[in-house]
Amino acid sequence: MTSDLFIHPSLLLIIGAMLLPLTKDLTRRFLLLVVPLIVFIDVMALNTNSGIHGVVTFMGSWTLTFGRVDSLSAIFGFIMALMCIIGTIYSLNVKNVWVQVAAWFYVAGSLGAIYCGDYITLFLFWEMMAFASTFLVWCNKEKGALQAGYRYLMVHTTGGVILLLGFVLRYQAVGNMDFVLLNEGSTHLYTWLIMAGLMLNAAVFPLHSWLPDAYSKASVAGAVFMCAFTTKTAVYTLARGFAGFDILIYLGVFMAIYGIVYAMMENDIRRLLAWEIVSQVGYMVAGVGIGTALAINGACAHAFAHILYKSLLFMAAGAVVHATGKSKLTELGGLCRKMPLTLIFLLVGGVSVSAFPWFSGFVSKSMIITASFESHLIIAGFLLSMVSVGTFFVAGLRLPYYLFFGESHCSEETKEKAVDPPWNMTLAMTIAAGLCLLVGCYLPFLYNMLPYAVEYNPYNTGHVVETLQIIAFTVLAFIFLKGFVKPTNTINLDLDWFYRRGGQYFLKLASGPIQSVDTAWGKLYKTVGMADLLASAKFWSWFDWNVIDTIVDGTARSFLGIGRRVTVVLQKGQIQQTLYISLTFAAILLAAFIWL
Amino acid sequence: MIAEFFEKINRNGLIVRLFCYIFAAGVLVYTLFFVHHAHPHTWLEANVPAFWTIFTLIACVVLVGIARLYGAAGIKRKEDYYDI
Repeated sequence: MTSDLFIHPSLLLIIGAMLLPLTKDLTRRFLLLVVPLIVFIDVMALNTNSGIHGVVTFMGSWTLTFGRVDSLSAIFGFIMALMCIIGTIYSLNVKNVWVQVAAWFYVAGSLGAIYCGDYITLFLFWEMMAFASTFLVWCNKEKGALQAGYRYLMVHTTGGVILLLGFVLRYQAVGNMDFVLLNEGSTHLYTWLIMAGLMLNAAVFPLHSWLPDAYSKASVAGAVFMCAFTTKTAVYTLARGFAGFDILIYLGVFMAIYGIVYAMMENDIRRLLAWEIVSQVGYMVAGVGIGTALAINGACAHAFAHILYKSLLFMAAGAVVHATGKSKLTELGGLCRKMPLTLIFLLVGGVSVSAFPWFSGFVSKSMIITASFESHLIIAGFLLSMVSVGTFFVAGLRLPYYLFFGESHCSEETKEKAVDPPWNMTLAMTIAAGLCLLVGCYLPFLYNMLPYAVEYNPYNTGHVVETLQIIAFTVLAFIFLKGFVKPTNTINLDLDWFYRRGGQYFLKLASGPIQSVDTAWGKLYKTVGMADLLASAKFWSWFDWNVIDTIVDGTARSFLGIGRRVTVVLQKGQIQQTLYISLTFAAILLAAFIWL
Repeated sequence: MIAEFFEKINRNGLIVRLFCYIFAAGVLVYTLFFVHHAHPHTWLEANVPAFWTIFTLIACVVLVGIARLYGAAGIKRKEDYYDI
């Protein structure tokens, strides 16, 4: 690829996503397999050609940069494109084509955010991710998914507005929209606003509640996509803009602990894994906060490894949900005989996240822990080590044990339904599992892609012995403590309580006192002030309708007629559809505005 | 075949536990008597024998303890908590 020829991978995905609904059966399968591959090749070609590409002048005074390729964006672009292939293979058996369309738009948003070089472009792709992923939640027909989707959209829209506010304030102060590293020495309000907006997508405490809420309600294939893209794209943007900010160390370590504690109590398998994302992203955020070359390398490596093993875990959990329709540990259990392949994949994912030697977590997680020790952050280092013990306890032992071994809580119907997933899901899991092993066994594969040169080798005696002790004695502790973490038929309150319960209280308040005051006021107004006004208004409306309009050309009447017909077509009472249509319309308008 | 193997593991908890004990003991012996070249980050690792064993056990108890206490403090609710 020469430097003149720049084909944005997001553009390819968006075109692919638009073609998908027009195709059928074999053609669609062909597209589903080929488009992600083309995107992957495009990303690979782009990554060999670092520099600034795709600079567009927008409305005279703005410069939009669509293709900033450097060592940091290259590794994230690579893994996102790879994940797109795996996720699409996993979703091949999904009949509802909108899942794949939404997923591709979502990946396009992620790739766009990774390769962009200015805040306007970032914001555009950022919002594309938020909206597209909402549809991945809505594609699930399960009870509660609709509400979860709304909450997800609400939180992300709020985050987007905070981000935009930061961009605008920064533009006012600095005079440009360049997406570069911000200075920790001189912080302003905009620094914190931008950071908060990015942190919301990284699910940093206290802006994290949307993640377990939405990911546990997304459609099976949708959750596999969601677990990979939103948080890791946010980690990339944090690494780009906020490397070395001390506050990120504290928040990262705290969210690592917070996530693992909730995962320990959780009953829903996908929610448990979602809590573990919060915990694992905590490592990356802490790594970004430490900001040394080793720590940034660690954050990138861990994001890379995390996407592979977490998607593997989500795919295995999704296979269980897909087969049985159940997602609670209290309604499952003892499935090892029924779904042995799924168990193997879950175990591979589990030992990868737990940083077993020869698996992917081992080579990435230890970089961040070592970086924190080397930067003399002893407490952070020990706390992150503690979380890594907890991760093995939860993902490596608690989840497989209560899902596949031990006592069975399955109903007869569930037992009958439980079978290993179809070939495409198995293939996707095999690829992800193979990559987990490859990353763990063949170090140059990952380390050569990292933004800084790597001198670190995880396979030293000290580290291996430390890991062996952690593994052996966590198993021992689990044998004795497993009764204390037995799943129960409960949910765990989190900070989303404030908008879920708070919203309900507000509704009660609104329908009670506020409504009655409003009604009383309205009555008073009607009897006293409105009578005269209404009479005169009625006359003028009659006059306008029957005299003036007839004279002119019946515009009002014809508009009303068109409006009614449009209403019938567009507003079927389903607000998601209306939203979708208006978003498409807005996008077309925007495109027309830019290009014409 | 794999399914039967897993089933066997599931049935024979005692053997699995025994295997885990032996593995843990082996690791501990190896750590205490055969490892001399480790590069410790901290004073604790250098001077406390089998530091990570002690650390792991304490970490498990602490995390499980926090989760239990936190859950009992009112975080764990019935599933229909948000359904009104």
